[in-house]
Amino acid sequence: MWGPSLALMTRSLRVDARLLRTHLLRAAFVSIIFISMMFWHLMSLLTGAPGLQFFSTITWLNFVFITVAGLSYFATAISEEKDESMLGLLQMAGIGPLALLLGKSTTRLVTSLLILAVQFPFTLLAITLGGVTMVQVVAAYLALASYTILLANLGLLCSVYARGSARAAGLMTLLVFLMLGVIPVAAQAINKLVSDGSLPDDRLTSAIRTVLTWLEDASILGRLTTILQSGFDEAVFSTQVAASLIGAVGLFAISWATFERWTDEQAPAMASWRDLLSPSSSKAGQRKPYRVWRHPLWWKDFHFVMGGRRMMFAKLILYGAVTAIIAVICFDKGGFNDANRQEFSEAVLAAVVIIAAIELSIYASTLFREEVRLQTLPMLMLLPVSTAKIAYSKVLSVLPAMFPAALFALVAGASHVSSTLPLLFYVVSSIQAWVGLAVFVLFLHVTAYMSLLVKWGALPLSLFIMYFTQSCMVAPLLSIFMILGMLTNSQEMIFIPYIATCVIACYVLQILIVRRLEAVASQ
Amino acid sequence: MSGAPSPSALRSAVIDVVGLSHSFKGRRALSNASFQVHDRSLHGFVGPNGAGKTTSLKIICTLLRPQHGTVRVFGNDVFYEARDVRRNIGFMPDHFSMYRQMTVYEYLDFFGAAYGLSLSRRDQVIKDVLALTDMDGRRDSLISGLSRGMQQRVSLARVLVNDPKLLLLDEPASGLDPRARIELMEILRALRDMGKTIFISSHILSELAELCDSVTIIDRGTIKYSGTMAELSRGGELNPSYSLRLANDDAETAQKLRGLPGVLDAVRNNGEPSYRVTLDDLEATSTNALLRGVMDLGLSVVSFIENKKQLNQAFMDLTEQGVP
Repeated sequence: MWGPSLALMTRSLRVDARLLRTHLLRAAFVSIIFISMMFWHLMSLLTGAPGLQFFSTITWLNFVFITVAGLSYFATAISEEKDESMLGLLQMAGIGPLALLLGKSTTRLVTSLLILAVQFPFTLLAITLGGVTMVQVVAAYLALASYTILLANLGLLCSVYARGSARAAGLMTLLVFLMLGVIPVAAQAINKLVSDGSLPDDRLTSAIRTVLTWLEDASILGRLTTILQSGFDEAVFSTQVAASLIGAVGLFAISWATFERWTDEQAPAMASWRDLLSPSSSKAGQRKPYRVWRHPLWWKDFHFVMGGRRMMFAKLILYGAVTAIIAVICFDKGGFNDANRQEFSEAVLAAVVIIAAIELSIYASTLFREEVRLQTLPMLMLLPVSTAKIAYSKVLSVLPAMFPAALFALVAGASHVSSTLPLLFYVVSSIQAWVGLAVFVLFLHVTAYMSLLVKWGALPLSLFIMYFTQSCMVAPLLSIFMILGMLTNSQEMIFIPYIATCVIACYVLQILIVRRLEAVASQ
Repeated sequence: MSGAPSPSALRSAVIDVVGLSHSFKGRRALSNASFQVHDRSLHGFVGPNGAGKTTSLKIICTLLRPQHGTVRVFGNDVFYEARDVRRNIGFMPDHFSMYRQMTVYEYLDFFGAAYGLSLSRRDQVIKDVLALTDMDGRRDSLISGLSRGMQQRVSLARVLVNDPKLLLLDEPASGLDPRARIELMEILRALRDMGKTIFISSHILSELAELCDSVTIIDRGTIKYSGTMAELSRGGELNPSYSLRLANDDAETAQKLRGLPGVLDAVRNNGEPSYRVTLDDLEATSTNALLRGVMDLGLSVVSFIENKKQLNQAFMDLTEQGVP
């Protein structure tokens, strides 16, 4: 067993070591540490405990990086072999399931842990800046390492279970979202409902609260928050570390036990989410055709990338359900009075903005990627129009899909016009709102560009890039703008250069997207 | 070849490639390639794997920018006048690039609309191309449910939607079963008869030999031959030659044959009453006249065959062994 496992692992590590990008990535992390350290050294003139702030930045950056790696890098360990139909050949070569799992996943885990290891000595310098202790540094890196091991094995299970890499990445995203997002929110919501008296504190609720509390304790988010508080002096080993390691072993065992079952290439294919979104068809593989609109690209993307009428209907139900829940909460006490209507209007608007932002992010990651996946870009590029026009037409094709969001924003606005108009005016005239919009538009551009560079995980990768630029590059720049703003007593002085930078970055990304589209089409 | 220009040479060059060179990361894919494709011809583009066929096709269809040299399609430069070129061409790549969730009708309707055809025109064009490709019974079928051969037909129908004058087909028959391949070749013949110029890259030499008027052979990025099939079949000889096998002969038969009008030379093969007869193409000697002359000499003809070099033989002679 060890021969094949070691052969696979040695080969992967050798390939990895020969790649320039491996060393660039490690060097980039060390560079980030130095840039951040320089910045916080300067800031030590203004603030206290810069070491802790510097260390917090680096720790959270590592957390985001590991999570992003989990969504794409870890989740494709086995599925990439499925994509290439290589699993059968590897098994024919006498490589068993355990050897494959160890050989494929351990390399990725070692590579990721090495990135953490390479930073560790440099991060110890944070202690010299003050505000952070050796125990905190060791505890944080131990927590991050155990979280990496957990994610690597969760990714391994997803890659064993899913039919292809795209599905594995999608499943992993869902599980990570559940782990990091849903559990803490659910725990807080139940605690609040119990303390409000809305939920009886019976045996069932108590059991749920106990489980959720334990899950929160075992969560990396809670653990890192605790470690990064000043005066932390707990043991470096914690529930989170133990739970992560036990969980990792369990996940690996499940992957091993179910390997044969889920990697059987003869087994019937499971339905994909794309199948669910595609227009319905009869069993005979026929369907009454839709008539193409005046803007053919809008028509195509609406029906075949954004889910068409089915998805539109589903979104109307989703927005409707959210609006109904908000209505119940707002009008439950006091009825349809003015204050409640204002509260309802603002809450629905906020919900619509959040859901629409998520929708736009997903579209940005799939709009061009789908053409690459289907290898249809050459056909589009051969239309007698410029590449830029094709790209912009595709971007505009998002508009029909945003109809439900627009409709419910209108409903929210119409429910309390007297407060909506001033709110709208405030948002339009607020420089901070423009900054937020500029950053979001830049994020969409980054996502669209990344979707042309990577096969999976463009969205989390873009989030990482935005977080990285925000924490390591923009924060120092913003500090300079703040000093300028303070000197000139002008708020615009702080934010206008920031917005201008975003606009320039968007323009550059548009050029890069067009070039990339042409390059992909010619491959 | 004779001094009189062939009919294809008299026609204008639809594709004019001059001194084309292209490299990928230091590896030369095309080296000073030059050739022409004439109007309303079916031009084969032949070469081993990695010879530079797909690179040439991608440059001609404007997907790839030429690094050195010029490529003109209908007189338009493929880089500077790409949109004009695109209006007149239809490109079918070597891989299936289709929106598989669409029905056949939607797929063609989408590209018709993308090329700016009006609603009524689209209906008519789709009806015509479906009839031509014999897919009119499958207009409502999902593309994902079609066989490879049928998908290839839909792909060809898509290429025809904007009524291009020039079709660029990259390995259109690869992966097709014999029936689908033969049917595809029939469609290509019909398209040539409709006045389209077809530039087809293929590995199936026997079918190209039957189908094509002219051919370009490329190997390791260099053009080894570009011209008519007739010239290629003569193996580089200017004058047509025939193998004439007689029932019997005598010592003067060769001399008598040389005396026939239009005959340049007649050489006896060793050991048998068989002659290699070379005609003067300038005289435009018909084979009937030659045979009549032979009969008038009182000779009994057993067989009379034109000496043709097969495309596969020419291909083997002109291309080098081994992986480029």
